[in-house]
Amino acid sequence: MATREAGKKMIMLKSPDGMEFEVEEAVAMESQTIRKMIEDDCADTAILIPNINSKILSRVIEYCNKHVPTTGATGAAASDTVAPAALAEDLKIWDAEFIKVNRATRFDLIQAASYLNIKGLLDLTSQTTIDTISDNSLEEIRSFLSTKNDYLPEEEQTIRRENQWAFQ
Amino acid sequence: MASPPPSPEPDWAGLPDDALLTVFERLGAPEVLMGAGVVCRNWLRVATGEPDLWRRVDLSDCFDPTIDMVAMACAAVDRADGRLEHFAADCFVTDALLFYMAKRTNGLKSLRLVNCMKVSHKGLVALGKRSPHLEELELTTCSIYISMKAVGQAFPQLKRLRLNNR
Repeated sequence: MATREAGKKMIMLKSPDGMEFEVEEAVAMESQTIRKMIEDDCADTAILIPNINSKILSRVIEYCNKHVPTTGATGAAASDTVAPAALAEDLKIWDAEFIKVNRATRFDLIQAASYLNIKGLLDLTSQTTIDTISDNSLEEIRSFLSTKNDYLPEEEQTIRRENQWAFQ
Repeated sequence: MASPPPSPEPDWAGLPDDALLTVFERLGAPEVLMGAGVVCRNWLRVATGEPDLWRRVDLSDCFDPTIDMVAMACAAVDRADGRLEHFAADCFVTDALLFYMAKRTNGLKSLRLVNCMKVSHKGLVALGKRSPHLEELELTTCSIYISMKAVGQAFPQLKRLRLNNR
């Protein structure tokens, strides 16, 4: 768990299953949803994050910790010696490890990234979905994602007519 | 050692809209039109109900002679709901498609046509008249009978013109 550091404002995030996470405000504000709450002064001592359990929330915080811009509260760059390209490369490797999770966890992370509005995390978590779908036919996509055709029979007729190119 | 029970398959049909938009944007227009966009009701709703997704339509390299490509391109133009800015395609484009685009959009910024022998300056001029912001025009291996003088006059804002006849 994060420890309080001098000069850094801390924020408490609570998951619905009762876990509390103390994080730097800058880290929490990687989420545009939380940023807005803080800027609108809606954030009291603790912010309850609904629908995101502690397991997923801790992963999201881990992501934000890694991706928060590396400039400290004093304005000094955290690492003057490392070139931006090397940092970007390091982040890419870190991201690739981070996303090595099962499909259920990845889905939960997508939903969390969406609710908390964290663009980078949404992009990262969506990429595997894109790789799964890309270059596949409609039936293959449905099968890979175990997604059922949920159109009513009469709807399906219209959809087939209006989108004939998808049903060749 | 017993393996952990498999997690239930997530409800991919229920992906949040912004996640679906991220997926669709990166897949590109042909894949959304020809597969991903009709997977289920929710995905179809997002694929057809978000005009910003269709600002850039690139139908190059997806030509399929068994498909009515012009009808598919018209559907993409409709989904953009007047916000189409960049259009690229090959082989199948006709003057009729350019007339269709001219009627439904006036914000086109770039147009790239490759191997489009069925396009004449009539279609280009009609589109040019309705595209005051068009800055980039590329015609690669299109008909040699296109009057470039008429096309030049129809696109007064043109900044880049690429003509390649291989």
